[in-house]
Amino acid sequence: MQVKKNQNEGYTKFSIIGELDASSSIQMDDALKQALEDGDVQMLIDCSGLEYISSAGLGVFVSNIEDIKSKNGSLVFCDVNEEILSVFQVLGLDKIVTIVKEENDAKALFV
Amino acid sequence: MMPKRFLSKTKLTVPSVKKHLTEVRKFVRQQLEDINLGNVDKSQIVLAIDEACANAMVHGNQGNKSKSIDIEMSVDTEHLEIKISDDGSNDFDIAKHLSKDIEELVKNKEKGGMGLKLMHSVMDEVRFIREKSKNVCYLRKVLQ
Repeated sequence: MQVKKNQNEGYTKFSIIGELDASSSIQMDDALKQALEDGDVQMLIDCSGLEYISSAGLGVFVSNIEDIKSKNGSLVFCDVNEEILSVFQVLGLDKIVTIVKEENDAKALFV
Repeated sequence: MMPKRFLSKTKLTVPSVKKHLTEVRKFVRQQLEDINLGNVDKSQIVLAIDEACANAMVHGNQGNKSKSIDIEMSVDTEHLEIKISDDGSNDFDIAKHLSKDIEELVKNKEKGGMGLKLMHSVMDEVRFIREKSKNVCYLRKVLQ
């Protein structure tokens, strides 16, 4: 798995490429924690290249939501495919985080 | 009564190292290829088995890299059955570790606690048993 970080106007985009599982989740956690430390709290998670996510992968986001919120940040997911979305829905995570169709839809949320 | 005819019965053994979960998922996807299920159903079954294997590595074998886990998959026309075995002791009873609500996990900043819920949501049967000095997670899915 690879995590690419891009600074855009008003938000930081994390593009996940590959499979986010128990083995690779620490890499994603490190990326989010570093962004929090740097004050990059408006976060967009681009899932267009995400092929698979397990509970360990979702756990990374679940465990960081409170810290993001406490810094007035946002956690938004875009380009989530049907298989990945079904995992969010099984756990009820789709009710906790914001999921939009594509990056353009997210931009207004970071204003 | 005629014995149940298994169309397919396969087994994979991998070291108890999390990077081998990729191999487990590849194996499971191959076994599911010819089954008449939609992509979402198949991906959820892969997920449930992946969760059970991660549990077996982390909780069963307690991260001991010299140990291994076995995954046995049997598919007939009506059912999918999976047995995941680890070499761990029976000190840790994962079945007693019930999943918490997602709101509680968020509030407590917890990374774990969702795997068992996923397994129960996806599969029709999830059982943890002790068999021949091994911990066995038994998963069953009715194929419609």
